[in-house]
Amino acid sequence: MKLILLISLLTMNIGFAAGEKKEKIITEYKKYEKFNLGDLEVKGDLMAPGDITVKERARVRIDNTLYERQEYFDLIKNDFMNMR
Amino acid sequence: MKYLLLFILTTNAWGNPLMERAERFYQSQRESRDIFIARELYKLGFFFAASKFSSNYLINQGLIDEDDANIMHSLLIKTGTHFLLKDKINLGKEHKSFAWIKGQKLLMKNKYPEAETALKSLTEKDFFYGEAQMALGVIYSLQKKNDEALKYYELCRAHTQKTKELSIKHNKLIMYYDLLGQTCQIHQARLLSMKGEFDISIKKYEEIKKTSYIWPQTIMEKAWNYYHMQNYNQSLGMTVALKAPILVDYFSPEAEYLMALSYSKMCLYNDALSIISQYYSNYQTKAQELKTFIDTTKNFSYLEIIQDNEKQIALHPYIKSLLTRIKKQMKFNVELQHYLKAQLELTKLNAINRPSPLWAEVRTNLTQDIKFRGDNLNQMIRNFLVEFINDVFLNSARLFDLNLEIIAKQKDLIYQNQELASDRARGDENQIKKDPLIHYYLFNGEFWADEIGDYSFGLKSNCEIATPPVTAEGV
Repeated sequence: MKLILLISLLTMNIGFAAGEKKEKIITEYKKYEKFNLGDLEVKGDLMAPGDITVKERARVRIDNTLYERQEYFDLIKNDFMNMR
Repeated sequence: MKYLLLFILTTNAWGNPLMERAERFYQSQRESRDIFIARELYKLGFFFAASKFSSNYLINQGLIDEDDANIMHSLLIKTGTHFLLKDKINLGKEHKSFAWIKGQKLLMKNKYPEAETALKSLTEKDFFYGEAQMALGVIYSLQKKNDEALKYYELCRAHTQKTKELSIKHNKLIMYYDLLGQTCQIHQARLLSMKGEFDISIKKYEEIKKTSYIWPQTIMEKAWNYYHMQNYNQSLGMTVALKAPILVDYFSPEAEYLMALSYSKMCLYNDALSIISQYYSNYQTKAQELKTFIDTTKNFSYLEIIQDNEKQIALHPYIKSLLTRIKKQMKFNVELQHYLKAQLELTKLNAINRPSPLWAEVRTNLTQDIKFRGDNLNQMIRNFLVEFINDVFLNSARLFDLNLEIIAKQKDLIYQNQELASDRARGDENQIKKDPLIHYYLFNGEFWADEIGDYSFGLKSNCEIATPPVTAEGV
């Protein structure tokens, strides 16, 4: 009985759809819309810096201690070892 | 002459009473056997053989009388200090020469107070008084007691001058005492430099004659004095003297460093950088050649090479120069003479044909002694060469630091928008700090022997900013 009812319902719908005339749908968009970016709010963590300025890096000046002969102990001892 | 002596020795050997006595002593069991043998060998002129028996006696017995002490002093002069330097030998006060050996041994072990006591016991009449005064100067120098050290170096100089005058007929002795006195003078100059008295130090160096063997080593030390006095032109002039053909054997890696450093102090950065780059290209090859020579010289046969000119032909000229420099060292020279004399003595001993086992032992001892001396000389040469390579690398590292410093200074100028005055004249006589008592000539590319070591550059310091700093508004 249920099956007969379902078949009759389906045949009715097909007959109705075949008989219906296609309606033309026209979609219209807004021609002008204004956004206030300042009012926009993004929720979540910020991943980029807020500005694009570059800070000057502190310049490190390493002074190399240059050798300047101040003493002669090595040569004095060498001379002694070089005696007969 | 050598063959005549050998002939006399061999023909008279059988009836030689000294040899017979030595053989008799050798057979005896007496405790003093060794010193008796040493005496007879000494009388026979076998000094190296005698020194071995003397050394044995000192190790086993220790006590000697004045005559034996005199023999040992003589052996010390004829064969060198080796036989008395052994640790097991405890020298007494029988001879003042022993005090010198004792002091020398203690100083080598850095036992300064004990060495001082031993060396101060020598008086002006003693043979090694001059050497002892120098050694005392060294002890005080190493302890930074400069005034005391200067006093002893002065005593050394005065004594060597006196002894030199007394040894008119002995050229080698005159040369030896000359060198000893000059070494004491150089030590005085070094101490004055360490005290900051650079101008007096330079005067001391200038008293050493240019004909002296040790004069070339004063060039670098004088150059450092001028550097400390901020007379960079003179410092450059001193170091350039080492490039004279006559001083070709005295090239020095430290001279290149000092030259680059002096240029950098005058802000002549391009000149300094050019010296640095030349150093790397020049000394890299030299160090490599020397390293190959050391690695490929088998069985430490440096001594053979140094004695044979033909073996030196294939060597790099600069290795030949280094070997020449070693030959001029006093210690090496004395040791080499003893080594050759010991070989001659062995030839004489080999010609003795006597049945006693004494001669076999003497020959064995002397063969060992010659080997020891040869090894010692080879080691001296090797050490000298290795030290030179180390010196090349040490100065290479110093030049690397200097290179970094120059780059940093050049960067400073860029950061500050500054430039150095680079359009100045390269040489100007007015830049030379002249001594009013000295007449100056212009250098025209020729090295004159009497001028070497007295050069000065005439460069103007470039440490002035050429253009005013450019302001930010001007960009």
